Amino acid sequence: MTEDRHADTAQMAEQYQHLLLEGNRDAATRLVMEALDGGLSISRLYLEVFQHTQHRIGDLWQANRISVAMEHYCTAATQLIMASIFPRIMGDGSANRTVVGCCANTEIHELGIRMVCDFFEMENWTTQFLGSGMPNDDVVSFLDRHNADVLCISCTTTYNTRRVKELIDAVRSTFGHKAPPVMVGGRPFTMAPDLVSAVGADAWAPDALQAVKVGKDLTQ
Amino acid sequence: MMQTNHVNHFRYMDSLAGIYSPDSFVQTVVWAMSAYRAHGFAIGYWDRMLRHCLDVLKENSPAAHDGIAAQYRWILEHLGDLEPLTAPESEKENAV
Ligand code: B12
Repeated sequence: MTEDRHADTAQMAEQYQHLLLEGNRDAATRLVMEALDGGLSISRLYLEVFQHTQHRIGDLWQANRISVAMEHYCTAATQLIMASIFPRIMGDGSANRTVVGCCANTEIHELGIRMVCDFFEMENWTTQFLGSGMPNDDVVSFLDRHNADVLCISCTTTYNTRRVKELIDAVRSTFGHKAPPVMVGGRPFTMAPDLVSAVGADAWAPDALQAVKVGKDLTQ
Repeated sequence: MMQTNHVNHFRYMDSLAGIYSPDSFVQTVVWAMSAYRAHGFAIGYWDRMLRHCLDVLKENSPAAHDGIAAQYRWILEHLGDLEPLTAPESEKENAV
């Protein structure tokens, strides 16, 4: 792994956001690639630039300073860049652990769980990213075919919290004591951690970096 | 936007009926009011909308009414506190 020599991610995040809001995806991509070549670690890029910018974009939408179209544009650009970086983070599965990551049914925000899966990938877990809008039955049959050591469920909008509980209930009622431990995360849990036990999860983490630590604890 | 707000509002109340967290409830109310007021909704909108919902539910679905009434009343009773807390930036600037 290259040494992380990139000091000022705050300034880079400002620039990245500015370029995206100008509609200049190509320059934003170049900014990221140059920073990576200059030694910035992917975990800092993800958390201090991408996640920070996405949260700021949300604040701007909330304050009616940008449109939903702009929110889509910025997200799509960041997703594209993350996909193009993926070959740099691909692990070899040597951790001998599998994580399945998905959003609660009806939840469409999927960048958070994508990041969580990518952080597990960087630690050589086998990652199965299912994305957003997953029907509960399909998650259950996927788990039946792939031996998950941890199931990660993401929820971003508060109105989907109940859907997390329904998915956990479906998994537990199908697999009983063989059900994988469930870790949850996303905005509602960060805002009100009492929701973690209310949905019946085994654990939660506030971000992708912590998620991997908790994932390791759960599988020890 | 009002239609989306209504859909999301009832999705949220449905979620709340299954999983109740007072922290999440208060933060979501503050979020919804600040987001929608920044998009042009007046504070009086919630006063009318919530009272109207209570009336309609009482008549058509007393069970749903009883499940939701305590939360709606809390919002209605605290509209005076929520008003400055959720004011859009432009109004805050004018108030200075
Ligand atoms: C991008 C975005 C969208 C995109 C989503 C596209 C996509 N493919 O994902 C689009 C434009 C479609 C969208 C739509 C909507 N959105 Co939106 N969106 C966002 C935004 C700006 C960023 C989300 C994001 O990408 N975050 C980046 C990731 C990396 O951060 P994260 O999610 O926090 O994830 C980290 C941690 O939370 C944690 N984590 C997350 N999941 C998990 C899971 C596990 C297991 C663990 C351990 C950890 C973990 O680790 C992650 C990585 O560190 C947020 C703002 C915000 N504050 O999140 C609003 C936001 C979530 N949206 C919001 C809203 C209201 C909407 C809409 C209803 C209206 C609108 N703005 O258009 C619609 C919903 C439509 C629908 N049908 O449901 C609100 C939600 C408020 C609420 N009360 O719930 C927010 C908060 C904006 C705001 N400030 O008001 N949105």
